[in-house]
Amino acid sequence: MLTPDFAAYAGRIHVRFRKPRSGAHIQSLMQDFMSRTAIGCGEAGASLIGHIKCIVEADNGGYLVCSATDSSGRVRCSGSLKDGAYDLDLVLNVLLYGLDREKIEEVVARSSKDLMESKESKVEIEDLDVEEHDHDHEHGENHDEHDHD
Amino acid sequence: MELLVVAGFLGSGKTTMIISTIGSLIERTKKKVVVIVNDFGKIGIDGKTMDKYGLKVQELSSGCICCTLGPDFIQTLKQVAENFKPDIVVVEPTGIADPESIINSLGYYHGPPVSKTRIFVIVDAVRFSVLIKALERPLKAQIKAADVIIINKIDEVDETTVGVIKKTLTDLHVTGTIITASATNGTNLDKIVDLLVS
Repeated sequence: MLTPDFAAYAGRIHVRFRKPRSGAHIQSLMQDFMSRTAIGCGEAGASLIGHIKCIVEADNGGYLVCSATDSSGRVRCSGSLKDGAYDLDLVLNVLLYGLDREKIEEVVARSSKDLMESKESKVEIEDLDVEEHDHDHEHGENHDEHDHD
Repeated sequence: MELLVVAGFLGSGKTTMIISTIGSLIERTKKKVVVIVNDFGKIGIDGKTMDKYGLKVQELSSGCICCTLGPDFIQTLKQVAENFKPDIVVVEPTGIADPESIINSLGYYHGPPVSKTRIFVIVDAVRFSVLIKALERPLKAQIKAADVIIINKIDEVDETTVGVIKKTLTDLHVTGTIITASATNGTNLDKIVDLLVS
């Protein structure tokens, strides 16, 4: 499944609001962000979405886990958010086929800035640098090459 | 110590299934369970999620168990076995991993003995027909390696779709037990726990 067109992106997005936000607002924001990211990846040329997932932790103790498995825009979320959050710490993984990592990065940057950056909020994106895979092998066929314990 | 590999393609619901069943497993058996999670990126989302649900988690991030992280997995398993002395170690590899190669890597493991290994493979009922066409060979490898195949997300498909998936699995001559479930709404989770306990 580690075919040459497989790409993995991992990023961390920090959102700082000037005024506290409700749990409902944050949930809606995260669903929109994930939905737009999944649709954006599809529109950019992804042949197959593997998994787009994130965990959002708010400064007031709430959290939300969201997941998308296709580019229809459908997102599933679970977790517990509270009202009154100023800061969000979001970790995102985008795992898909048919789109290079730079393109994924562009889609993520666009959807996060479009949805979450305004006069009332600031967004910072950190690349979490997923380790490059050796695309030349099939899984399960290279164990003899390992320097195992 | 038992090793249970919970494998399945990306987004099939491995983490949700573990969260939904391990609590009951611990409650029923009173056994000590540790989860080793392999995820992409420096910060593992699945590990953080399980941690929110109170599971004891050891993370293997930034790569994949069955290629670059093989030695790290063996080392982590040994550390977990020695430090926590668990009865059961649940391993959740990335969705692209071949579970058979994880079991094979135990040939390089020299820690506290592993008495039993089992592979549970989660199949995404919603995307099965698409995935089996797009990634036929590796998906078949995952399925054929399974002792138990869980057709997950049945709440999102109709009975005909489930029937087609079961027939495809039968045509592949899988030897594992097949069970339908929904980790989200709880369908058949008790049966999965029964299998975990057995």
